[in-house]
Amino acid sequence: MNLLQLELIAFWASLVGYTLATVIAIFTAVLQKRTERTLLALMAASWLAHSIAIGLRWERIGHLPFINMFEMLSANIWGLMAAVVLGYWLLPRVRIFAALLLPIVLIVMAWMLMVPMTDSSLPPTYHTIWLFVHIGFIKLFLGAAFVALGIGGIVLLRRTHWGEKRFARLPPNATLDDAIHRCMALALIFDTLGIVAGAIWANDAWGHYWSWDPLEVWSLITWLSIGLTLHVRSQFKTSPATNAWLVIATFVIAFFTFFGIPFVSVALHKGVV
Amino acid sequence: MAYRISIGLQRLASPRLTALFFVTSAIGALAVAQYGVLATTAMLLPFTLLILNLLAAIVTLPRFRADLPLLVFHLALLALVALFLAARLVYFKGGFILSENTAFEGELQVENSGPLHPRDYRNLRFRNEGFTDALKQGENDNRTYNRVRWWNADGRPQVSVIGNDRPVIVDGYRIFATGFSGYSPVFSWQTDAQPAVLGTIQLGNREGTGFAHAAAWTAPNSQELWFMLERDENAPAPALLGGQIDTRTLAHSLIVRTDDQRIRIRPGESLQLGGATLTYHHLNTWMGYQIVYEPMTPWIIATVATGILSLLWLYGRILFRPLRQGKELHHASLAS
Repeated sequence: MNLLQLELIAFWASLVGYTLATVIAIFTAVLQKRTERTLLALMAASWLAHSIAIGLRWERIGHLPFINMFEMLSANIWGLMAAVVLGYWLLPRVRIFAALLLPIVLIVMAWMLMVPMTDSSLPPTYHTIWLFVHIGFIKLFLGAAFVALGIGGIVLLRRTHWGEKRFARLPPNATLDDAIHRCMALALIFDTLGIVAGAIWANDAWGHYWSWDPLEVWSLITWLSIGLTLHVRSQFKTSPATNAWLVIATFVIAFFTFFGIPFVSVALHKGVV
Repeated sequence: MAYRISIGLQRLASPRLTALFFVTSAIGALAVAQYGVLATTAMLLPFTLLILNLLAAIVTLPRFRADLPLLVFHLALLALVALFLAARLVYFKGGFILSENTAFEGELQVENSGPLHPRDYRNLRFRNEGFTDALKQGENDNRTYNRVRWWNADGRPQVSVIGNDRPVIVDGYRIFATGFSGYSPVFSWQTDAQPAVLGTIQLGNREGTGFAHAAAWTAPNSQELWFMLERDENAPAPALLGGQIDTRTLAHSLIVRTDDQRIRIRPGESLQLGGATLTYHHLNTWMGYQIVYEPMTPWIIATVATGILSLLWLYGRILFRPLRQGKELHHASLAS
């Protein structure tokens, strides 16, 4: 069996695993069953299979496979799933957030499957360690904001008749708001580091730190929206629901930045995260 | 009077103004990207707002002085804005073209600089010594490397190989080779009355298509000439130089058009043009360079590092403590 065949087996195993995990997470939330260990094991195993698939692709094509659209989407699913698994493990009292986040991963997965699974080539400007650092921090930022989004979703669903009963046993909104605040603080730190690493890479590659290309502009807007979310919470003592809406708005901007801009930008820097 | 100043400062320190900074910055950034507004103009209002708001907050709010990481983070933000302003005043960015084996004489094709830039680039001593392409078989990994000679502050000559991903730094100016490069045939022009004059013509960007490898030239006798490089498709591949393709071994000929004539010449061949002789000697290259001067960069990096460390310190205190429970939150809200 060659590397490509092994990669495909690992890749499809991970996709099947993620899909099953989504179904189980939704059933768990709706029917209030206790399947936490099974779900954690399934998500972790699927993520491991995905990691192996990415590793085999790296070995096969000879460079970090984060270049073309298929690889970008695959890497983003990998990063978001890493955040879900980690959040699921570290925040046992709010594990239901997985039921809100996994369908989003599934949508990105469907998008990925519509994109040709071609091999990429590495442009000369990508031969730098700063690319790894930049991508790594942006992945961590997206992961932290993703978990905040899931917990924010619980806060908002609780306001509905359906969610009020189902999420009654979860910690109070103020505790969830505290967890969201920490995730967003981490998001700000990682996004700042990601943007700084990206600027250093841009200087290495194109001779300038910042050139106001669409992706840089939207990265700045994303950073400003995280700053605004944290500032509003700390200075205006807003309610957990208001904070949750702000987190959703921030994630929508971040999602547009990293998943939407590559489609509308013709700049050199088309978004490799 | 003091009371009015105090009230004014408190108003300036309002968190609403901070929120306004976030919103106006986002609008300013979009204006730069969507409508091509100058970044300095677009960011003037939000940055002025940020400076006034932060200064007033640091002066009037005891929380800033009581919380060291919070103070350091906001001072770093202030310093960063000041450094951005200074950077815009002294920055320089330009582009120039040099034929192979010629020296930079201070002439730029494009230039953009801040009003306080000292324009020392005119004194740079820098010479193009030709390029090679690193083109690996079967890979889309095409990098151009350019050998340059430059003289340091002590007047000592240095040799560097630069590329579009690898600059040389001369007197604080970072010089990059670019993908904008091409061929430049070397000719001599001789009349019966005067000795031969050696010169070169820069053909178009070699990455272009169609008539890209062409250029027009008016000869000293006012005759209009047009040249185009034609690669010899049947010739063996160019020689390898240190594992890289040497562009100077390119098998080729030159098409020369004059009036209604179309003539093909190879290196060493001559043309008779109205009492003068044009001799094609060999094919050289030319390179487009990008030159950048940003003296504030190390200070900006140090300030950003300070800001990030203070941010880690600020949030590190809350990230690793247990999540607050309902009862604690109730007490916390009563206390505030």
